[in-house]
Amino acid sequence: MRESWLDDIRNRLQVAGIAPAGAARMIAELDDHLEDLVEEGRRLGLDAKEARQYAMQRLGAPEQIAAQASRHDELKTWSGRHPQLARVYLPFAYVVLLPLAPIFAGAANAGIVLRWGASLMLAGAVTALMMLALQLSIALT
Amino acid sequence: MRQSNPPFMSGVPELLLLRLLGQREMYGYELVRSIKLVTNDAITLGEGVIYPVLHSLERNGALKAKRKKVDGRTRVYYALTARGRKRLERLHGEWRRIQSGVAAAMEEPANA
Repeated sequence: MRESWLDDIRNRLQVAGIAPAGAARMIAELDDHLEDLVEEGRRLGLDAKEARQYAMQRLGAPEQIAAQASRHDELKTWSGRHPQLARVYLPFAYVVLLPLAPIFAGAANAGIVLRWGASLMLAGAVTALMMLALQLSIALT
Repeated sequence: MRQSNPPFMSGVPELLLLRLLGQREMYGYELVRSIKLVTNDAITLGEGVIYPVLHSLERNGALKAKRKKVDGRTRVYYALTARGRKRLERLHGEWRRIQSGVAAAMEEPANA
């Protein structure tokens, strides 16, 4: 019951375009608040199930919380703030950026790319030395 | 169980949150309890709606949030910033102006 209530809010926040990090923190805070209210309900003499219902009723319906979040544009991602623009322009942006993906991936994993490049150069140098040694041994015999 | 206050409450939670956080830092559940206490239970919020308001105020620099571990639980405490204090003063001024306007209208005979 608790998980489905939190999942419902999580989904509604995602649909409203709330930034994932902010939404995750909001869910964690709501979960914490829910626990406080369940404890309050138990202190009032409610059983476990009633206390959970009491807590969720006090916190409000998921659509009410998501609607309140949706009023604050500053909590949204760019695409959440401009859904129409995102639908039109993002596919074009992806098409333009797709050929650059290896460069971005390389920049994001620069350490690995450098190590790989250094290993390749070392292997090339060793091979060249071995070829040179082979050539010298042929020339000298 | 009492119903939450209707939509004309827009802006009031923000004012109350700033006012209470101007006194000391608090976390969400604590804030809601304080609102009920200081308003003599006159203002009943769907308690979950304070989080979007708190996050928005934090995003605008009026509040700062800090995680603290208390009794084995990690809570997010909110505190007022200097920008938040200015915002509180402005909202408080607007609130006083509206309050006195409505009070004057209610005391006047309805002959306009």
